Amino acid sequence: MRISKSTGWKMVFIRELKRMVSRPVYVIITIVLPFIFLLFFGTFMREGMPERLPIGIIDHDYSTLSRNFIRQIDATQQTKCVSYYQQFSEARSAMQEGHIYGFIEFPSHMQKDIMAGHQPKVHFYYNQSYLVAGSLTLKNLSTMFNTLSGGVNLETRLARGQNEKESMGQIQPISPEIHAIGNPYTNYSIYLVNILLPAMLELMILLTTVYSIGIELKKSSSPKWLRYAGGSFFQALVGKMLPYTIIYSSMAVLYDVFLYKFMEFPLNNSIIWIFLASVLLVLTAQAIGIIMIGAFPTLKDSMNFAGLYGILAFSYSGLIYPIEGMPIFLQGLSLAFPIRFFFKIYQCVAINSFTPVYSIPNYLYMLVFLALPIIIWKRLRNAAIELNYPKI
Amino acid sequence: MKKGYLKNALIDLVEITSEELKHIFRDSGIMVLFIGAGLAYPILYGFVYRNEVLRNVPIAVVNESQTPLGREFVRKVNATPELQVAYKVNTLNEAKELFAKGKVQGIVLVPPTFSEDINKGKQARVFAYSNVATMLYYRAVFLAVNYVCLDMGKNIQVENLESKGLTARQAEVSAAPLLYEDHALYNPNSGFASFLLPAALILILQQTLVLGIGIAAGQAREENTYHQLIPYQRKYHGTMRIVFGKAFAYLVIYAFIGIYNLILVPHMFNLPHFLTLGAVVPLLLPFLLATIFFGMSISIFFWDREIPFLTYLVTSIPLLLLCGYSWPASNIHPFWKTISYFFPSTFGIQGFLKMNSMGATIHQIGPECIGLWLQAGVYFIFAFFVYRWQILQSEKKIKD
Repeated sequence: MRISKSTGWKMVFIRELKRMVSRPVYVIITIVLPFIFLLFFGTFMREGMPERLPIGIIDHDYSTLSRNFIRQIDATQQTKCVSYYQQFSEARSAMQEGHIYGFIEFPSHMQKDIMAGHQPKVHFYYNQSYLVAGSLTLKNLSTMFNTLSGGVNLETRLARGQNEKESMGQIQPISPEIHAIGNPYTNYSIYLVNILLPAMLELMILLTTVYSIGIELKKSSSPKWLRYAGGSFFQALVGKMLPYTIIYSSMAVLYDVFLYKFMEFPLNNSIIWIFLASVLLVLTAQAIGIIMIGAFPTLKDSMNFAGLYGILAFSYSGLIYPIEGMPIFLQGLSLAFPIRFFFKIYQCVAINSFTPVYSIPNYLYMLVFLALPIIIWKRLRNAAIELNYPKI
Repeated sequence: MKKGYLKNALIDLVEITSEELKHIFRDSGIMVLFIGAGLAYPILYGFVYRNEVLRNVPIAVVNESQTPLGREFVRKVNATPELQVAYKVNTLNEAKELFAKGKVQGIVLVPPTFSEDINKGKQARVFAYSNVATMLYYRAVFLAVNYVCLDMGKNIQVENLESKGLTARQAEVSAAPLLYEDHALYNPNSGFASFLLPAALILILQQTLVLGIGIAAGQAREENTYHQLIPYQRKYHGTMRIVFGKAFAYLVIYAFIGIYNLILVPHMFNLPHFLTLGAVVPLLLPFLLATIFFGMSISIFFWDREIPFLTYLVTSIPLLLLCGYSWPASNIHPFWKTISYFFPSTFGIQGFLKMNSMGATIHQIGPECIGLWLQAGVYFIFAFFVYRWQILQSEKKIKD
């Protein structure tokens, strides 16, 4: 074997590049999969808000009024009346089978009872097993009913000779104006993709890092790897990580450009701040990958733990369910996930568009992760030199 | 003759199954996955989402109308289960500062003209701003503020009508000529765990199983001389026996893990649990078979034992979106819908959700069951040819 005279991180870097082109799996995990993530999250929730959610109708009244109501409900964007049922059990069955997310039951003699002042009651049944669809149909329907009931109220008042403007103040004395900051139409794509996409990349980087180091240990090639670095473990690690840092950072920046420039997701600060957070996320994922393989120098074990941790990171970002809503003894765990700080930075810099000054502590927290591999430094170095870990 | 053939086949089958079981139990990687992820993950998630609903989201209130009505409004907002008035500040800027620092997730602003407008019979307005980086915050603000506006508004309307000489009943009817009541038939508390966990449980079963099968296949390829899935041995000539034998090993293990996940865990965490031990079988069986044969089919791509983790684990989050329980199935693009039909989790999650969370019977989830049995059949054929090809390959290598 030809032994190169020069050693150092550059030699390791070149060696790693050669390794990466030697097997298709490296291309898959660094290029192909990240592009598939982009394709998926870029197109999946393209509508932003689920529209035309199917609901059912039981109309016991069958009056001009009930038909008028149905027409008005059908005219809203969120829900669509797709089927009519004779009785409750039929409609419930359709709901259990997933054909509809909810159904309305108009009582018999509804129109007559309204005229007679008997306050008939309309029932709406919905399915919270599908929390998103259920909540959206409920929100739409309850708004609709307030409008419809208000409409009847208004007509009565107009008939009594009140003017319309005055009547509105009487019918709805307090009118709320609720703003969703940065995402006024509660677009689900904006809500989820900003975090899910980087989190997917983070998971990929974590596994790649564990693999790229662990495979050297598994194949007992790590002494050779260190020889390329001239015996310096630091240089060996830097040279090995750098190709991935470059590829994944470029990918992360590309994601940001796609989201904030192409899709025009809310961002009122310079995109540099997001770039910075994204690159930090790449680096922290690599740091944690190094910790994983250092803590469990057997590749199969560290892959397992990296996987478990990487999936848990989606929960601990706090994106879907806030950390404060978790039991106290599980809240602290969120500190172990860089994506948590990334999410906080995103909230400040992008969606709520406050001055980035507020997120400087979060940038610093992310930096702390980069120092953590020190904990396992010795152990990993010894494992690499002496190969003193259990093999498969 | 026929009898002897059957007997041999059965002996081979048992042998292959126990061989595979031995491999699995000896492999610490697979065991950590099956036990760590298959058994411990549901517990962890159960605890993480144990509180089910978000309560007392902290908000800041800017009450520019220091009147009894304004104060009543703030008091009512604070009394809702969703929100808690954590700060009362004088200006919107102060509130924004608290928001930016993450101390509050929403702001409610009562303008100075609030009482005056109400007393004059004009429509009064209140303003709310919510952090929507987490949709549940927005939901809390939206529900609470809307509720208080409607509730207080109705009382005001009734009082006004009574002051005009209507009786209490007349005023009541006039304010609400039509009543409306909503009922959440399933998951009535809008619990987050009750929503997420059932789907996650099925997905955990599928992903751990596929990864486990993939790791075992990768391991076999690393060990076997010719990097084929099956070592070349005399007794390993019946492809059918090998496929069924291996599948049976996973079926045995996952019958237990499956019942644990689908029956025990929902009971433990008081999640929806319509399903009984007997009723779960017609769903679990095709789901496991489809998953096992799916796993065996795609293990053709798993050249070594790390590849499954590197390339397959990342499907987990997209699969959770694809199965149509979070993002409504009615709104998934046909392209992605087609992709989703390749994965047993799509039918498995829907079937389990319908039976376990909504009390559907097995007859009501006919389409899901057919989907799963179809997948089981198709993936069995795939697995058969994958293994057949691998056997022929190793035979060829031996002869060369």
